[in-house]
Amino acid sequence: MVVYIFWPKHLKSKELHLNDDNMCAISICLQSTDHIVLDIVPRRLLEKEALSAPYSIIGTKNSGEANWKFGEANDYCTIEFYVPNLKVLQFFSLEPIPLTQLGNAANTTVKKADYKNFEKLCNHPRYQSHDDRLRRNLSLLNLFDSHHESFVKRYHSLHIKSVNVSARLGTMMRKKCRSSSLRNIVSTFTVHLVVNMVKVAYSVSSFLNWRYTQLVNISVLAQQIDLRAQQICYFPVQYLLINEHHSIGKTPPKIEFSSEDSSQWKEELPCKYYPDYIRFYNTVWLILNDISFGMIVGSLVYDHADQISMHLHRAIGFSLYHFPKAITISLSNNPLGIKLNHELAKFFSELFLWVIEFSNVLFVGPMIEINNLKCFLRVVSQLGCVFGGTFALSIIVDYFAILTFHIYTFHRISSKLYHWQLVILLSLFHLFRGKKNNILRNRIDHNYFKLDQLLLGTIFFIILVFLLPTVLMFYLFFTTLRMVTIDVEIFLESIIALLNHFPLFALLLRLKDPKRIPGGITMNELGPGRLDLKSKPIKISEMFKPFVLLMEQMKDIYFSSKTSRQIFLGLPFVTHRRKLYQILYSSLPSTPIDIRTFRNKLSPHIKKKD
Amino acid sequence: MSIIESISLEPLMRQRYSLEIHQNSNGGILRITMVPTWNTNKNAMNLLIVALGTITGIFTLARYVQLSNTGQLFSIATIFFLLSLIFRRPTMETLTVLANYGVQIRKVRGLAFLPRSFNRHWFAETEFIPRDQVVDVVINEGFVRGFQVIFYLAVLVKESTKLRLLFAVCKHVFSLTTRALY
Repeated sequence: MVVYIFWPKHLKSKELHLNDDNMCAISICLQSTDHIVLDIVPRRLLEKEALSAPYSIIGTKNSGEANWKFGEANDYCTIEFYVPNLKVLQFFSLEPIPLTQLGNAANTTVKKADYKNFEKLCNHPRYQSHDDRLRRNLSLLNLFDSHHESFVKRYHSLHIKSVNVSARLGTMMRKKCRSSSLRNIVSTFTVHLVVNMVKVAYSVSSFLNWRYTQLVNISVLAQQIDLRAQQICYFPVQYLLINEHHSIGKTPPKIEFSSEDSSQWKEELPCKYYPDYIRFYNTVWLILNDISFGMIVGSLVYDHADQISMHLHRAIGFSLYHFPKAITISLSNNPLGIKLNHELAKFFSELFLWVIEFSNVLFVGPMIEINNLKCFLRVVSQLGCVFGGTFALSIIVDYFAILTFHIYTFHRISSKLYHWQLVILLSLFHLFRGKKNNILRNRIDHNYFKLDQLLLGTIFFIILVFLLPTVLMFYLFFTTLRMVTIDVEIFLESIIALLNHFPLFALLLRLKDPKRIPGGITMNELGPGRLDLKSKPIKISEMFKPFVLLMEQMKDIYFSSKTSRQIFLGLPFVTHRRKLYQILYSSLPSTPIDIRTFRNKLSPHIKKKD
Repeated sequence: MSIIESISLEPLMRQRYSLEIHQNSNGGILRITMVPTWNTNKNAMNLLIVALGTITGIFTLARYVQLSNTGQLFSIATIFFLLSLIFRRPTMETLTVLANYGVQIRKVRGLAFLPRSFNRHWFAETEFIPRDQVVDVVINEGFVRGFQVIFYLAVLVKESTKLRLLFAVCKHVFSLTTRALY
C-alpha cells in the first residue's frame, strides 16, 4: 500500500537553513485524508511538547543525512507543491471552474436518452466505491495557510513570532477611516441610488420582455437595453455573494481545526463564489471598455461624417434602389437567355417595381439623403460616446433593418407565391394519379374523381408547371438579396456580441497568474518516489466556448441543409433573437431578481463593514 | 528499482511503436510511454523539411519580392514559424497511473528543432482524471477506415459524453494498468 505525503516546497529552503540540526516533520492528517506536512522543526524543541491528534510527526532527518526517514514499513511517495495563496484567490481544483452558468442553455441539446446505457453501467455495484481521497486532500491543501496559523497558535514554543510594525500601523489607520460618520452618509446614499437604479432597470427589462409584443425579438436596440438592464439588476446580487465570503482571506475561520471531520469546512473555499467574482469584474470591465470604444469610434465618425455620408449615400442608393430595379426590369425581359412567361413576368416586375418606387419615395430616399445621413451619423456617434459602442452599433443595425424592409417584404411575397404554387402543384399531381390528400387521417387515399374534375385538374397542373420557372426566378433573386442583408446583420450582431461578452477578465488572469483560474491538476515525476503537483490553468478554447456554441447555432439556422430545405419549399426564416443569443446571456440568471427580496440585506451589510 | 520493458507491437501496423513501462518499486506510480520507433529519424526528416522550406523561401523572396531588411527578416521568420508548426515531432503519449489517485494522460507534440526536454516542459498537453471520475478502463473494438477492425483502449469517465482514448495497445498493458490502479 502506498502512502502519499504532501510536502510544501517552501519548506525546502527552511530545511537547508536548519541543516545542522536533527529535524522532525510535523504533519496534519484528518479523517479520510492523507498526511500533509505543515512544518519542519528541530527535534530539541519537540522534546518539551507532545503533539496531539490531528498533528503527528511523520518523518525525521538527522543532521548531515540526505534523505528523510519516514516511519512504518509502508512505501512512501512525496508529492511536492507550492502552497496556494488564498488571499489572492489561488487554489487547486480537480475540475475546471465554471466561468458561465451554461447549465440552462447548452445541456438541453444533449439527448439524455442516448446515455441511458452508460448510466446503467455506472450504477453497477462493481463501480460503487467512491474514493474521493484526492479531492479531500486538495481541499485540505487549499486551506493550508489557515491550518498552519492554527497550528502556530496552538504550539507557541515551536516558533519565533516576528512583529510586523508596518502591517499593524496599516490596519490601525484603516480602522480609523472606517468609523467616520462621512462614510455612513456616503454608504446610505449609495444604497439608495443602487436600489432605485435596480428598480428602474427591472421595470425596463420586464417591459421589453412583455409576453405579447416581445420587443426583444424584433429590435437589436431593445435587446441591448435589456441586457444592460439585466446586468444592472444582477450587480447587487453578485456583490453580496462575493463579499459575504470576503472574510476568508483576512481572518482565520472560526471552526475548530483540530476536529477530525474534514467535510465541515468545505463551504469556506473560494470555489463557490469565484465564478461570480470573475463574472462581476468581467462585466464591469467590459462596460468600461465598451464606453471607451464608443468614444473612440464615435469621435472618428463625427469628424469624418461628411465623407462617410457621401460614400454611404452612393453605395446604399445603388444597392437598395438601382440594383433591384434594374434586375427586376431585366427579369421581365428573358434574363440569361431563359424564356419566361412574358405576361406573368411583366405583371410581377411591374408589381415589384411599383413597390420599390413607393418605398424609395416613402422611406429609403429620405433616410439616405446626404444631410439626413450626416445628421444621423452625428447623433449616433454622440450617443455612442455616452452609452457605449454596442449602443451605437445596435442603432445602426436597426436602421439597416428598417432600410431593407422592402427587400424583406419582397422576400415574403415571393416566397408565399412560390409556396402556394408548390402546394397546389402537389395536390393536383395527386389528383392526376387519382389520389387525394386525406387531412383527417394525414395520408394519401384513393379517390374517385369525375371526368371533368380530372380534366380541369390536369389542365391547371400543366399551366402551373409552365408558370413555375417565372415565379422561381423572382423568388430566387429576392431570396439571395434577403440572405445578403441577413449576413450583414449577423456580422454586425456578432461584433456586438463580442463587445458584450468577451472573456477579458479570464484571459488577463490567465496571462497574469495562471494559478488563479485552475482547470485541473498535473502530476509530474521528479525522481524516484517524488511527484510534483501543479495547477493547470483553463484552456483558452474553453473560455470562448459560448461563442463557439453561438456560431454553431447560427450556422444551423442560416447555413445548414435545413435552410436549403426551407428555401426549396418556400418557407420563411424565422429567428427568435432572444433564444439565439440565450447562450450568451448565460452569465446572468434566467430572470432578473427583484430588488425587494434582498433590499434589507444590502444596507446593514455596508454599514457592517466598519 | 524500476522495471523497463520494451515491446514491439504487431508487424501489421504501419507505424511501429515500442512501449516503455516504468514502475515505482512500491507499485505506487506506473508510467507507460508509447514511443514511435524511427522517432529520431522522423524528427530529423521533419527538421530537414523545415530547413529546406525556409531556405527556398529566402531565395524566392530575394528574387521576386523587393522588401526592406526588416520586412525580409519578418517574412523569413513567419515562414520558419509556420513550417515548424506544420512539420512537428511525432506524437509521444504517456499514461501515468497513480495508485488510488487517478490517471494522467500526457501528449507531447513539440517543434522539430527543440530538444526533447524543452518540448516536454512547454508543449505537453496533460489531462488528469481523478479516481472518483474513472468508472473503468476498457478495451473496445471499433471500425477504422471503413472495414478494418481494431482494438483500442479507453477510459470511461463519469459525467462525460465521450470516451477518453488511450493509445492502441495489446492486452498486456491493460492488465498492468488495472493492477496498478486498484
